[in-house]
Amino acid sequence: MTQHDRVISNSSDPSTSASTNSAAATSGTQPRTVELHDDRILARHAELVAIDNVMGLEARVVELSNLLISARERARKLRERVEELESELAATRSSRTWKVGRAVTRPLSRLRG
Amino acid sequence: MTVESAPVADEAPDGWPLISVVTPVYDPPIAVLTEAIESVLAQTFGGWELLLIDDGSTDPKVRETLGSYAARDGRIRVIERASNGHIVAASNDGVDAARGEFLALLDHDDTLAPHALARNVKVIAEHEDIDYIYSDEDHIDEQGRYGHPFAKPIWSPERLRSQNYCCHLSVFRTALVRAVGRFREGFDGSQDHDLILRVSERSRRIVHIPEVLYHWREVTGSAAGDAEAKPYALEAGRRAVQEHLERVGIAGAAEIGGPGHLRIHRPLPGARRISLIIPTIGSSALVWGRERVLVVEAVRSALERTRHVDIEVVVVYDEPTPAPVLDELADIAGDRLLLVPFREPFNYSRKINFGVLASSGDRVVLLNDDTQVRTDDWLEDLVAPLEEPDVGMTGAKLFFSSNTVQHAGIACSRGFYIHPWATAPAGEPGNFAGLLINREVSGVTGACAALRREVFLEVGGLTENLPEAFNDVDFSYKLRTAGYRILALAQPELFHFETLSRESKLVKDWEYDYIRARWGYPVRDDYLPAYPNLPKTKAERDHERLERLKSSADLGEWWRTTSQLMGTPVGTGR
Repeated sequence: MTQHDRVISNSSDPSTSASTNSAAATSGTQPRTVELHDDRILARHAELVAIDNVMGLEARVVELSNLLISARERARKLRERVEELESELAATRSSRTWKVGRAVTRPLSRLRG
Repeated sequence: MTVESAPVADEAPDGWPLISVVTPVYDPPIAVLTEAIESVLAQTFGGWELLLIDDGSTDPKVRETLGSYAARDGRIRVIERASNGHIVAASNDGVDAARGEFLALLDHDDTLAPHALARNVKVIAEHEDIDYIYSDEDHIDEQGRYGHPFAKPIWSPERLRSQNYCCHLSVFRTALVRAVGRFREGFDGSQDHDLILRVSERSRRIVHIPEVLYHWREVTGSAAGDAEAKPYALEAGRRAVQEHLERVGIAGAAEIGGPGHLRIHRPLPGARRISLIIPTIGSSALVWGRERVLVVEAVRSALERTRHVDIEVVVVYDEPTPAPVLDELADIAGDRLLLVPFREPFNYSRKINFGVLASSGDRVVLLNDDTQVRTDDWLEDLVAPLEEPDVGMTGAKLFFSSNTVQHAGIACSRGFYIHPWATAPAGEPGNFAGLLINREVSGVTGACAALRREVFLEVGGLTENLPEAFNDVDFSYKLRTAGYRILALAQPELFHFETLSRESKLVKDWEYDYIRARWGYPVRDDYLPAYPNLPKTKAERDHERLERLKSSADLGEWWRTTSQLMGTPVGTGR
C-alpha cells in the first residue's frame, strides 16, 4: 500500500477537526487523518479478512484430519482388542475344561430352574 | 601420529550406519575415563567404533587404560599423538581416522546414556538426508548426582548465534564434517560451536532428539561447572559467530554478552520507513504513583529512545479519546502523526488491521498504548532482524511496572498459552540464559511486535474473530505455519503496564475453544519444552493434591498427639 492508496485529509472529518485544529494551533503542523470508510481501504480490509478466514479454515482442516487419524487409530486398536477377546472367549468355550465344567453345572442349573 | 593396531570393528547391523565415537583424551582421572568408555560399551546399539585419541597424556596409567580397553573390544581403537596438540588437533585425528558414516563427540570425562546411539540411529534411519542431530543433556556433579537437565528447543539458529545450545550430544555426517574442513585451529574451547555453525549452514536436515542422551561432568574449571571458567573460549565463540554471520550474509556484529552467551547487534538500514501502529482510547492511569495519559507517554518514549528518522506514528483511536490527548500527540510527533478514528465497538484486531492498512511504512510495529520504552535504540534493535527474509516477526522484552519480567516470548504448553518467565526479576538470566539471549519462540505478544508489511498482509493480519485475547497467539501460529521464524529479542526493553489500559483481560473459555479448534491442543512447546511457569500436568496436580492431603493428615496426627498431651479430647478442635 502506498500513500496514494489512502484517503488522507487534514482533519476534514468533523469528529476530529476540533482536536487537530487545536494541535495545529500549538505545533503549527496539521496531523493527517485517514478515514476508514474509503472504498479502497475497505476492499483491502476485506481481502485481509478473507485471507485470515482461509488460513483459519486450512488450519482447522489439518486439526480435524489429525483428530480423525487418531480416532481411526483408536478404533482400530479397539477392534483388534474386541477380536482378541472374542477369540479368547471362543477358545475358552471350545476347551475341554469348559465342556466338562458345563456338563457338571448344567444339571444343577436345570434343578435351580 | 601412531595408530595402534586394532582388529577391524564389528560391522553395523545390516542397513544401519556405523557411528564413530570420537574422544580426545588428555590426562583425565582414570575413574572418569573408565566411566566414559564403559558408557560406550554399554550402548544398546552395537554398530559403533570408539576412537580414543591420546593427546600426549603425561600419566602412564592413561595409556595403560586405553590399551587394555582396545585389547578387550575390537571396536575400540587408540590413536596416540606424539605430542600434545590440544583439542582441535586431537579431534581432527579422530575425524580423519573415522570409518563411520556418522560421528558422535564424547569428552573424556562425560558419559553417554545407554540408548544414546540407538536413538540417533533410529532417527538416521527415518531420514535419508539427515546431516546433523543434537539431543538433550544433563550434568553429573562431583558427587555423581545427575541434575540440570537441559530440555533444548527444536532447531533454533538465532539461539545458536547467542550460545552453543546444541553442544552435547552432537552427531554429524562424517562426510559433511570433512567437507567443511573439520575442526578449525584457533577456535579452541569453542571448536564444537564453530563446527556446528559451519555444518548447519550446509545441512540438508537437522533433527533434535528431545531426550537426555549425554551426561556432562561438572569438574572445577570445566565449562559444565562454570561458564566463566574459560574466557578464551567465549572469545573464540564470538569469532566463530562473527564469521558465521559473514558467511550467511547477515549484517551484524557478534559481541560478548556475558558468561556463556553472545549478543548480536544488527544495524537497521536508514532507508526503512517504520510505522508504529498504536491503538488507544486515550485513557489515563496511575503509574508509579502519578496519573498519566498512557498513549502520550508511549509515543513520547518511543520517539525519544530511537535515532531512526523515517518514522510514522499511526494512532488508531476510539471516539471517546479526549481531544487534548490528540493535541498532545500532535505536539510530540508533529508531521509524523497519522490519526485513524475508529467508530466501532472495541475490537483490538480490527483496530490494528485498519491501522496497518492506513499506514505507509515498509515495516510495521504493533505497540500498545500502555507501554513505555526503557532502552535506547529499541526500534533499531527490534526491527533490524526483519532484514532476514525468514524472520517473520520480532518481539521485545517487556517488564511490569514492578520491574519484573512480563513477556519474553509466548510458549504453548499443556493446553495453555503462557508468558514463561513472568514475574522474574529484571536481570534474572533465566534457565540456560534464556532471558539474556535472542531466541526463536512460538510467539510474541502483540503489545510490542515488529513485522515486514508484506508479511502482515500475507497472513491476513490479526484475526478479527478474536477481538481481545489470543489474537497475537493466533497470528504467531499463522506466521509459523507460513514458514516464518519468530524472535524474542533480549536487547529492546519496554515497560508494559498491562491491565491498566482496559479493565479486564481475563481470557474467556470461548477464546480458548476458538484457538484450540483452529490450531489444536498445544502439548509441548517447541522452543521452551521446560520453563519456570510450565502449566502442571494432571499427574502433577494429582501429586500436589496427594501431598496436601498427606500434610493435612500429618497436621491431623500432630493435632491428635498435641491434644492427648494437653488433655483435650480428640475431635474437639478449637
